[in-house]
Amino acid sequence: MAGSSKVHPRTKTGSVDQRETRPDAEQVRYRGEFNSRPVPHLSLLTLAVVLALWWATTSVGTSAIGVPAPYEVMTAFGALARNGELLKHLGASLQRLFLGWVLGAVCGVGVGLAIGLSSWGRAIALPLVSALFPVPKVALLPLFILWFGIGEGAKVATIAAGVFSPMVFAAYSGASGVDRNVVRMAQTFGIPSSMIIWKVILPGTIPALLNGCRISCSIALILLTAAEMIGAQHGLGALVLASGNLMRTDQLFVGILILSILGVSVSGILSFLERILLHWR
Amino acid sequence: MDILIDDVRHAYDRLIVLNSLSLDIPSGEIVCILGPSGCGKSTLLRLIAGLEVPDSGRILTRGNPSPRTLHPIAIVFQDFALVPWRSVAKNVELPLEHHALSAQERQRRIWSALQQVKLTEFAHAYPNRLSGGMRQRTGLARALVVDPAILLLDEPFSAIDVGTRELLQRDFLRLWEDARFTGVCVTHDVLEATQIAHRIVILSRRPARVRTIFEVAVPFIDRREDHPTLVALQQAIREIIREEIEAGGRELEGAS
Ligand SMILES: Nc1ncnc2c1ncn2[C@@H]1O[C@H](COP(=O)(O)OP(=O)(O)OP(=O)(O)O)[C@@H](O)[C@H]1O
Ligand SMILES: [Mg+2]
Repeated sequence: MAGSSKVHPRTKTGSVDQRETRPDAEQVRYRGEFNSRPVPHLSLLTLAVVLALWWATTSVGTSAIGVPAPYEVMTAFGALARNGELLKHLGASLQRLFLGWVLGAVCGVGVGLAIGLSSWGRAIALPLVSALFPVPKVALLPLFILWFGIGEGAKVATIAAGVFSPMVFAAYSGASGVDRNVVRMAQTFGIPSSMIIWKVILPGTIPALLNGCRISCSIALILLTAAEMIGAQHGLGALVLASGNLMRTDQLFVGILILSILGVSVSGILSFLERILLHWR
Repeated sequence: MDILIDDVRHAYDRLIVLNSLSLDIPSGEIVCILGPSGCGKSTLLRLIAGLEVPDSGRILTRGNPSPRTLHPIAIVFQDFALVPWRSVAKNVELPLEHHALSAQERQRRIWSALQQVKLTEFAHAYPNRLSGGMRQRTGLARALVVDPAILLLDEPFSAIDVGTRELLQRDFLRLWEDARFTGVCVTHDVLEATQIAHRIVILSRRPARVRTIFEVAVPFIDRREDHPTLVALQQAIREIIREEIEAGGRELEGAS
């Protein structure tokens, strides 16, 4: 590559210098197809196209197959919002989601840290957690209904159970993934163990915990919807199920849309937290 | 402080790593430890740091650290072991945080350590924004901030490019001139050992004992790379390590 440090045969604008003086040279082929490049407005355009297709298909009278037109969904949304039903459904769902998630996450992080930090905790809890992990948590719903009745308790418990396992594994893998040499360094300095946990290990688990939050939130949303389809007056799951039974696909779509917005919002909040908490990356 | 290693044996499960290893490291000297890969050098360092307990034998220190010393022992790792969410200054502060120091004394120690390694400009940078050399200087500052009597280094400069490495080695000697700690430096780099050590200890293949000890009689200011004594020493060291590796290879072939 003699002289390549002085004259780059290929410039950013794509012009090729000295082509005549180097007849035997070949242009380096660009192989960076998977490099990430920003494509402006394409995401918005996609959304617009999907909406347009939706509108177009429903306006030629295919609503018989159960797809309401966009404006029908908007009307249903307006009606539900005005008579206060929407707020009731959303409020009930958010409350269950919040209680269940916090309960499951607090227990899960506690158990996960115990497994990650202590040999005792690991010996006691790891087999139990591993056995619980593969059980689809919806299967626990009937059990929780027997235990706690068909009210709020069973729903919250189901969500908590679903959130528990991923948070255990997030905390556990986060704590054991903290750089061994950083811990050794701190121990060599005689820093007390409680301080090592507080200042080195816990902050080191935050990235894994945020990942765990992503997974557990989507699980929580699934379980919420499923639990609300059994014996619930209010809640997005109840709304979706009831609308389906009444063939009110417009309201059904409102429910699905709200669930989608809920998921996207949670994901947005987590991205925001990531930016704040992991600014050092 | 002197370090006295007395007939130490250490094994992981059935793998005997160190066997009847005895070694005295005199106070205020820099000792480089060389040996075939996997022979137990890092294990020896962890034992001296008190991170593991030997199966048998004793590891002692002797002497009184200076009154400035907050903690007698500190360690520097090849991978720097910086806390990534703490800035350079905060990393250096970490070993001070469990000591009852006035805020003034704490800041004085941090800034003097940063000055010693010439990192004051980058005090508020995060580790992922630093070059390898700067990261290792942060690791050095963090070790020196407690004024340790014993400084342990596990291949401290091997993850750093050659030019920067030579600079760091010179800086390291300058730091030693000021602080006069006892230095125990594990390295793979024979040239590095002949540049920074008062004494070079060569370990045998696993299970490791002390195979040979060389004193490097050349004063630091005379240690040019082509100094005939050092060149001869390097050759002798390479020869011994090669012998150990080949003997280890033959044992493996014989066993299979
Ligand atoms: N925590 C551990 N558990 C089990 N075996 C270990 C452990 N740490 C080290 N070993 C084994 O002990 C032997 C010595 O390891 P050590 O890291 O001390 O070698 P080393 O001389 O530092 O090697 P290198 O030059 O490659 O850094 C190796 O065979 C290693 O596999
Ligand atoms: Mg090693």
